[in-house]
Amino acid sequence: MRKKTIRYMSGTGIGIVVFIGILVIMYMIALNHPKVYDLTLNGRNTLDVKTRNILNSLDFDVNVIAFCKNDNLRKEAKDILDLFTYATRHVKYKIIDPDVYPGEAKKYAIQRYGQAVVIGNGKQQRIDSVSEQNLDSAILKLKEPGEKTIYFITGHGERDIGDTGKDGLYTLRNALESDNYKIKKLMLVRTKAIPKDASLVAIVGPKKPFLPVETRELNDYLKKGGNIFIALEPMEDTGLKGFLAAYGVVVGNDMIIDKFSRILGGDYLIPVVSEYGDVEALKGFRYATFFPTARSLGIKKPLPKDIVIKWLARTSNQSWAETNLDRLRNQGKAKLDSKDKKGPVNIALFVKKLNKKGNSRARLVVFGDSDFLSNAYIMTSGNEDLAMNCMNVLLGEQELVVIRKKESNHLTPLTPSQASLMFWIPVVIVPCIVLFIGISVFLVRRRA
Amino acid sequence: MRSVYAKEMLIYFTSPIFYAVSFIFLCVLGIFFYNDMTYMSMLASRIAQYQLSTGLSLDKIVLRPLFSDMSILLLFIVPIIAMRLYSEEKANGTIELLFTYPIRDVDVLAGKYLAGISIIGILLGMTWVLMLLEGTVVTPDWGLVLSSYLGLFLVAASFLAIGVFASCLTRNQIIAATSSLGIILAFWAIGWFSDVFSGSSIAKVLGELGLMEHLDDFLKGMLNVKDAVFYLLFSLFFLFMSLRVLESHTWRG
Repeated sequence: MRKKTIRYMSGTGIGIVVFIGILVIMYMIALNHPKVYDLTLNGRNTLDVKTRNILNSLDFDVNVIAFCKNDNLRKEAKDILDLFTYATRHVKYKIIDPDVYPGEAKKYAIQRYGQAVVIGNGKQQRIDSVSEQNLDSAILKLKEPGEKTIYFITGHGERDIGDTGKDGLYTLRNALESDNYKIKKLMLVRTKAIPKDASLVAIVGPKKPFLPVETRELNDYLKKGGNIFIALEPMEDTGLKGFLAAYGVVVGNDMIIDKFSRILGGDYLIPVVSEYGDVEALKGFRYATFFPTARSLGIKKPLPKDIVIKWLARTSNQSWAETNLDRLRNQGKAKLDSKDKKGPVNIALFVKKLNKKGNSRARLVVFGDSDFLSNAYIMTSGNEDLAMNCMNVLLGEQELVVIRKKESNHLTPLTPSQASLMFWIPVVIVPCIVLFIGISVFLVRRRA
Repeated sequence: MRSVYAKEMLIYFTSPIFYAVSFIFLCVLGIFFYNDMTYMSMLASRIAQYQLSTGLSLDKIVLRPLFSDMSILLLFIVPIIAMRLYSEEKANGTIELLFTYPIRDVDVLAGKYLAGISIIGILLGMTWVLMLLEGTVVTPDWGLVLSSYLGLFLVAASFLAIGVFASCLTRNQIIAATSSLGIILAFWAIGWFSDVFSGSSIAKVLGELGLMEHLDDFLKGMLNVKDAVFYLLFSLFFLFMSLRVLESHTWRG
């Protein structure tokens, strides 16, 4: 009898061990083949397209060590890092308490809770907090063999990249630097040619005309396959008309008036753009952009040889390009007449010069406004994203193109009647209905 | 199995326990909901008054805390739902009858477990009133609501499996409920220990074993297959253990 019991017991024990083994194997399979579906309607738990592009092109392992106490900071870091690990097997992370592991914290020169170190490709980057943007930036820095340099032209009254005032470009500079670009100033008259390390040349808001020798330098740079980003201002003669005409861009001597912007609470002189061209830089881009005082850009007909032009952004059909600038300047009045160009009016163009094989050789993005890049306006709606997407495409960094996620549903104050409904229905009525049914059942059963 | 299921459902609906548990569950949850909604209303007024852009959403202020509270309430309520499943049979002596019926143990277990699951489904179903009420004020993210309910259902199914196991062990319903509560709390606390050993491989194992750690993604609106598999395997393990306990009656005599 005892032997039989021992036999049964050992059989049960073995059965349990085998069963646990099978369960562990099944769970390990699920663990090693991560599949995560974001069920939220606005894709809140989905990484940005930009991040996914960066992660998809990763060819080395990235280890992230975040230093957090056991608090909300840790929870937030975990939420973001989990999304990265779901997106790629190349990213692994651990979150450690710097007070428990002071040696680790000292090794990576951690000074504050919430900081993290991103390690990979033989390098390491420290970030101040675990956010999608910071992780993107750090991973890009690990990836890049060298930094790409953007030269901002100076000497013609252009907007200053170091200026933190409302007209400056300091915010744009920060955004570019966080995408791992090196930013330098360049005075064309002092140099014989644009430096060889220039990945992009930006001309933002010139007020004085360019000298012929300077436009020649720009031409030479483009002939060598360069990329130029130009943002012009209306009512300013920059001497770039001829240079741009050679690339098929007609700079209008006008000012765009947009009645539609008035509906949105803006000024007639701040055209709103919500329609974007079918170009790679703006696929899926659906945010309104605002251009305070802009001039129109036309496409030359016939186009110069080997030039391909696409419109990037244009205003609504309630707008027009006002050519009577004197009346506008002196009387502040504008009226659509036969001389004016009726909307939609191009506000930004993308130009490609093809080589003999039909491949793109030189690229230009021209905007009829530069205010939208200034500190005062760049954070307005989609302005920053538009500028960054255009620059990233010029720099050949398609993976940095941003399609911003929709905001999640907003909070609404309750009216007094709604507040009372929120109390009576869930706290009193529904539980009491259940209680009433229970008592009824009890009474019926007792009678039976 | 069907007859066992039908019998168990009838017992649930005619016993005061189901109604008492539902009443307390809905009442407490209703208070939490009212608090969350009034807090949201107060925040919304402040945001509008000072024209703040906070990034706060209905999901962060109302839905996630509410579903989190619901999981804690289930932790206490499911052991009460499960406690009578086998303990009552043992106390009444009807368990011997069950063993002699021409029904396999696994079918009896499945019938009882499915009845418990159905009761949990009904309980969760009743809380949809809150979602519909919320929908009259702000449109919730229905994807997030769906994933949260799925997560809650799976975690409650795991609690129930533990409850069934505890119920198999004893004839006393109170002991069954408290011991299942103890086991559930132990698997909940395992997750905290993973923080103590943070960064080490022990932390990873403990983190994977923690019952509540797997609910996080569901409450964020994500369906992580790994977490769903965990809950299913976890339930399966305790149901298997329950079967082994029942089977031991035959050789323990």
